[in-house]
Amino acid sequence: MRYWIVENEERIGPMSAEELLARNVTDETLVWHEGLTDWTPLGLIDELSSKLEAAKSAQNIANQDGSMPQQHATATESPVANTTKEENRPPCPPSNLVWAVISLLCCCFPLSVIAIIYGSQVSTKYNLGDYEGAKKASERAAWWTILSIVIGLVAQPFVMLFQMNGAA
Amino acid sequence: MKLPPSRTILMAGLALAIVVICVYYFINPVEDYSPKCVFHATTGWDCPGCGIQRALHAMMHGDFISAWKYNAAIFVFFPYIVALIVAEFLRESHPRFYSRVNSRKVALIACGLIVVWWIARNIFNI
Repeated sequence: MRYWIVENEERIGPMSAEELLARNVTDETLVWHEGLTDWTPLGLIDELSSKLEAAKSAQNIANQDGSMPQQHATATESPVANTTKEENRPPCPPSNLVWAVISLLCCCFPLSVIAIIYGSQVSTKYNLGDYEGAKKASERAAWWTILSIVIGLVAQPFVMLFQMNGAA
Repeated sequence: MKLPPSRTILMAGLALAIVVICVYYFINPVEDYSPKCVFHATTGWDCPGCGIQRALHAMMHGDFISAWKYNAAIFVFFPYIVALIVAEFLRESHPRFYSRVNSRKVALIACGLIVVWWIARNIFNI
């Protein structure tokens, strides 16, 4: 979808949602896209306002990772900051890191390294509002783990045979 | 409350893990038959988890020094695995703990440590 916005009483666009959010926009910024009858405040366009909210909270998390005073960190984390829009977010998909690490340590087959890398992307993508990407990364992490476990199990009898021959 | 599927699988996995750990109290991988590492059998190199069965057996008998010699990495990764499992179960009540443990930073550090350990143990024979 292409968006136009009003900035300093000037019409700017067309641009994608990402470009729009990269600008200094607020809930009050007037936005228009095809299908709207008139300029509409960003806060009233569900798709954009949820993305803006996600981008803001991602920034908060990034700030907390830095050396921000503890008091401020708890303030942004308080239930008041969790507006109703947060409830519209789909739940964060599992990172599946447990399985990747366990299968890696259990001599399945070291493909789980790839699973860990996909698993590490889940929360980052989710916090940026990329719910599709987070889900995909989560699923890929799961499949690489399953693949490494299956290879480990399937190869087990052959390894046994191989070692018995070697001993004999 | 309906459990999310990931948690149901985790519960099953946890039960299995407890059974497996208990089994290693009785099995001594050095003498008895135990599953062999496919990576080690095909390449001759140790994988990051090689020695974990012997280490588990030693640990179950309180011999932490031998466990350390068989596979030192488990002393880092067992706590990490436990933290991941705890975080999954406390996800609703402690969302920040969950996002910390599952963050990109922590996961990439874990991944890096595993790769470094993997290479180092084959070079220095540890």
